[in-house]
Amino acid sequence: MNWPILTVILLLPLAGALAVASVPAHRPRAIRAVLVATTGATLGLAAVLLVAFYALPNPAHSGLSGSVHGQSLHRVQSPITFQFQEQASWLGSLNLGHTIPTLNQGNNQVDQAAPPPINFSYHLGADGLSVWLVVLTALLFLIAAVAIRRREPRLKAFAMLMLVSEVGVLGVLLSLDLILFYFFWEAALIPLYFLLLGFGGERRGPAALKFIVYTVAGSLFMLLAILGLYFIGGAQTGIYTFDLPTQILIQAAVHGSPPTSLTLFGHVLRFLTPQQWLFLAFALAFAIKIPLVPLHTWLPDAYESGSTSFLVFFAGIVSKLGAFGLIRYCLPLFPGPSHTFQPVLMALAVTSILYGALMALREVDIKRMIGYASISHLGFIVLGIFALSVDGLNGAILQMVNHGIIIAGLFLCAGMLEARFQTRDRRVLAGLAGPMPILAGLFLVIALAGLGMPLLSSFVGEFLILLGAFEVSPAWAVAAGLGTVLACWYMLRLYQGVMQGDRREPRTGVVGARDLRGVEVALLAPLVVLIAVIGVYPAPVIRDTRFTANQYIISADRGVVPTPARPAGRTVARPGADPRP
Amino acid sequence: MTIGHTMAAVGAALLLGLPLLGFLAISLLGRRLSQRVVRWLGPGVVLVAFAVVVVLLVATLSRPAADRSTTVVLWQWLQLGVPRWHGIPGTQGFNADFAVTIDPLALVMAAIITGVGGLIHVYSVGYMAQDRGFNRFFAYMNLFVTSMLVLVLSANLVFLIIGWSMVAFASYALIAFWYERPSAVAAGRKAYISQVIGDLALVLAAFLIFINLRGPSGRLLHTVSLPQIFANVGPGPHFHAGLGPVGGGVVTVIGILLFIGAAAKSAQWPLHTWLPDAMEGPTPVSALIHAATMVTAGVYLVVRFHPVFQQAPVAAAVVAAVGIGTALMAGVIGCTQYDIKRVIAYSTMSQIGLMIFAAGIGAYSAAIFHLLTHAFFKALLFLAAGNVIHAVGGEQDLRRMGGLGRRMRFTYPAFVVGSLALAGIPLFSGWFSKEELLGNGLVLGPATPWLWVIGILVNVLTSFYIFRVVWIAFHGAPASEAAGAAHEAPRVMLAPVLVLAGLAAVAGILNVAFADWHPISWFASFLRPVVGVVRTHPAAGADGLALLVGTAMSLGGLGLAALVYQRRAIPADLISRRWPWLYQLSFRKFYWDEIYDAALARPVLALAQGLQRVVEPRIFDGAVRGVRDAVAGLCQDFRSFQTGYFREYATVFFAFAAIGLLVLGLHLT
Repeated sequence: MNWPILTVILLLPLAGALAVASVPAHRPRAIRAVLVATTGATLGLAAVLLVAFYALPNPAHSGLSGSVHGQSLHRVQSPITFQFQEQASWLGSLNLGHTIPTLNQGNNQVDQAAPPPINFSYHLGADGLSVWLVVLTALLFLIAAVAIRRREPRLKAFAMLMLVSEVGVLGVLLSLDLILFYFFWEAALIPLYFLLLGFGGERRGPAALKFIVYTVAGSLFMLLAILGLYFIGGAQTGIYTFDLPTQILIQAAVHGSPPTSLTLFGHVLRFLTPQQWLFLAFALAFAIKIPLVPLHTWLPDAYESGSTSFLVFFAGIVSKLGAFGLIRYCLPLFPGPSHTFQPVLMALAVTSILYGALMALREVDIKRMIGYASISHLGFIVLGIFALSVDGLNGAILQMVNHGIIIAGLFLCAGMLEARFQTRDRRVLAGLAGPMPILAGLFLVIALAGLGMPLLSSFVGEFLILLGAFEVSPAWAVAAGLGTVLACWYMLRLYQGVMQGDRREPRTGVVGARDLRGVEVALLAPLVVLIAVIGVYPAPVIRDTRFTANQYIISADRGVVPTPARPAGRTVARPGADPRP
Repeated sequence: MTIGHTMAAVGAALLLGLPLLGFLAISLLGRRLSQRVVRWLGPGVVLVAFAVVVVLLVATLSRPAADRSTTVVLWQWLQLGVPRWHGIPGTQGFNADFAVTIDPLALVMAAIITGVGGLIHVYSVGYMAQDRGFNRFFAYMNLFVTSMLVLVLSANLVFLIIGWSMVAFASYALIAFWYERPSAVAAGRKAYISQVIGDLALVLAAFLIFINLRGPSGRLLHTVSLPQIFANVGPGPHFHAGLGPVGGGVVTVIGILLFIGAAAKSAQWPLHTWLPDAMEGPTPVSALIHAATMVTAGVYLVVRFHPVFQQAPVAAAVVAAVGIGTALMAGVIGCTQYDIKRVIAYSTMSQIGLMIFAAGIGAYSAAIFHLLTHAFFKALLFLAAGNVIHAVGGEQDLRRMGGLGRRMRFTYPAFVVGSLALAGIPLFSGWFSKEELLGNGLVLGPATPWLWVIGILVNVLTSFYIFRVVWIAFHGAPASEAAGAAHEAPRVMLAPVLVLAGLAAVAGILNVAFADWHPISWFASFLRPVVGVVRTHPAAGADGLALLVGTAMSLGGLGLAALVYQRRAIPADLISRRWPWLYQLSFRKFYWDEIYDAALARPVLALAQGLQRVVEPRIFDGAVRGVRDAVAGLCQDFRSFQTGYFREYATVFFAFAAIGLLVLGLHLT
């Protein structure tokens, strides 16, 4: 691929936002047309990216070995292979197009004589993890664009904010530079705040505030960690860089070597290694975004208040960014701490699974209930990631895609119900399968996928995640497995409560039920088809993702191999040997 | 050479594809498909599938016994492993193909599913004719048949589990078919959740096998392919081969987990409570799912995994004991119920208990043979009961029937044939299969012969409760207006009943040992390549003794029922007056529903409520609010300093400066 496809994908929604800005606000049809065209074109490009990725020979196989800049990086294999890389210097005048090899071009040697890479560059790339998430993002934004309610009063603002947040989300997935990543992370966040604040339900104000405070707090820790990584890695190897692939190599090289004594970490913070502190800061930011219990309380409020169209991409993709970050940043950058804190994160994941499921069981507000169910499902994803095995990670990646589809479908269904009956209380609705057979059928498939029914998508992911957890310890898998039983319970409570039962009962408020219009079917149908296709035949999805998953596991597995200098993970004080030179 | 991979693949594709096609066509086209089309399409696909099974059976029978099993891969489902490549280490990951096995056991099951299932589909055309959800009903029924076929044909543990769970869903959909009835909705949910518990157990068993199974050389196999599992499960030359030594911890846990899955599907204690409630579904559903096919899947599972259970004697003993215990318990409950379908449902639970018992003691072909005859006579009983319910306008209470024998000239004898077969009266099919099963129980399995003694007690109960139904429902005077005005069922509903009656009467002949020209009975020799023969040869004379005593017990139960309900020589309320606690125990189904409600459902809901009322607002959100209030309070405190008056700022400045100077001065001196 000789043209910068990733940049084009990033710029397309931005151009769309500018185009929307140029359309007068009193022409909603034109705004909608631009919005749908932009998101549709983005989806088309994402599909092109996916096809191109799958067409690559031996994807993810072109490893990198050698040394970097004469530093002690001998025979370190590049753990992750990024494709379609684009790099341009941002600060300074160095053009790094020649010094950082494009890894898929067969140039496997890093030039020994190359000047040190500059600190910060515009560096994009994709791997088996991000291509699927890019496609998912583009798909969900298109569906959200179509799903915007009729007579939305401030359509123009909504459309612009939505497109800007799409840029942010895509940027998070595609950036290979820590500062760039942070920039996109925030760029996705701010429009989401305004979308929640400006277009939500009745309790949107506090919900938006809670959301922004939570995530900004998380981001702050992440920013500190990014800076810490820059300075600590630099102090240990002499290479100061924000470039992710380089930083992964640096961390691979310094892993196991004694930490440099830095004043900051000198005395107070000594009971953890610097890498462990950095890992925790990253993990905190991602855990808030996912969210993991106990950092989750922003989520039900936000999901309750968000408009349907907003929730399709907010719940569908933004929550995946946290999980994406855990895989992309925590595992390869901090292999040691990933293993050290594995039990902690698995425990939090299982807590989220069970806590979310139990809360979903009691919740009567449909949107809040879906929110808690989502917490439970995201717990599965984190469990799969921190099983730190090929099976678990593949399951987690697959489940990220699946969950995005399922949660978007659930919120669309909830939104269609809310638009018809002006209620989100599942106790008020009953017996809608009679007057609304199409919605009932589509909702049933989505709900079944949500409870892990085989031959629908999430069974595959949950099966692999549980297998990965089982390989660590059967207790995790059994505890998480109880979550699937509870999932069956709460999903059936939701589906049966709304669709089955007697609608002529006095407590119900079901009047004038009208089945789905064509456009509404068109919104749900692609999701349902994807759910069925992935469930019946998941092999194509996993075909190339597994190479990426394998690489992440290999890079994380460095954390378990004891090096001659020091055992992995936590510092062990040995008599007679000062661990710090 | 086996029956040929092409033939097996095409056969399996047709078998799975036809009902699936029916399901997709009916569910996607919905109301655009007229009832006239569905009436042919729904049963048609299943009957054609049955024809395919017959062809495969003939083809299999034409092969020598050793070559009757063929496994073909239909498609590659998941492939996670990555090979080593240019110095990058590869990994062993999870792999699973969708493969099917065509072998005698799978074919027997497929024949029951499509054959008996086809008859029940035909019956449903009449039974559901007036229902608004006619098309939906056939969509679910076809889905159910597809799922069941996936379950029995699968040559891969993951696909077996997939079929297992699909069956659970189809059963849920059919139980809650009349979705406007709250009781049906609740029953469906209960059935589904019980099934999911079983699914989880199976998934965990699959994990244990995947992680622990080793080849003869001691190398980990990392496989979930059933032929590979069965070929390697036994001990081998290497110390660690298979799943460890016979009776080892891992294989025992696997056996128990498999059995939990089987118990959920087959309604065995302690996961049995969903089955009686499942009678909320339409009667053909009860016949198809809760008599002939789904509930027998647990028996199939234990028999299919017999190589594992043979390595785990403790697990097998648990299977046998739970099976016979459930048989007894369900038999006791069946004697006091008044809902005609629930009596038959408890009878099913009891008979399946016997099959599970047989599978637990290693009498595999006896278990499957009883499964076959049971499919005939129990489907017959359910369909005949459906005719009765149809005739009396939806009434299911025995006490409001009576005298129906005179009005239902065909249904009545058919029901009696089914009852005789169920009771194990000589020469009816149930007699052959049940007595063979119990005869094995006398000499095999744990704690012989005590489990057998329980088994023949079950015989008494079985013939007692089913003839209780015969006499109450079909004899005496009509107990209600509807019963007086009852009419015979339409022909489309009678034909399947009569076919099944014929099968229930004569199917025993399949397993007669013609000692002169064939060493062992025909059915057992057909299954032999899959399940082998009974491990121990019965002691001389044990067969005869068991047969004699068992038959006597069955006849005794029949006689007892006659004394109580026909001659009225013994008052029917004898037990309830003498031993009210015993009657209550039976009538209240041993209180399992109440126990589970109090011990499981309520605590979980209470825990959830506690989390919702206390933990979420007070602790998690409380912490957040606390931080917010603290920050806000701090801001408030600082705001009070910002008065805007220069003199106050100056005062503060000079005060702090003075303090600073003071401290500095003290420090210096």
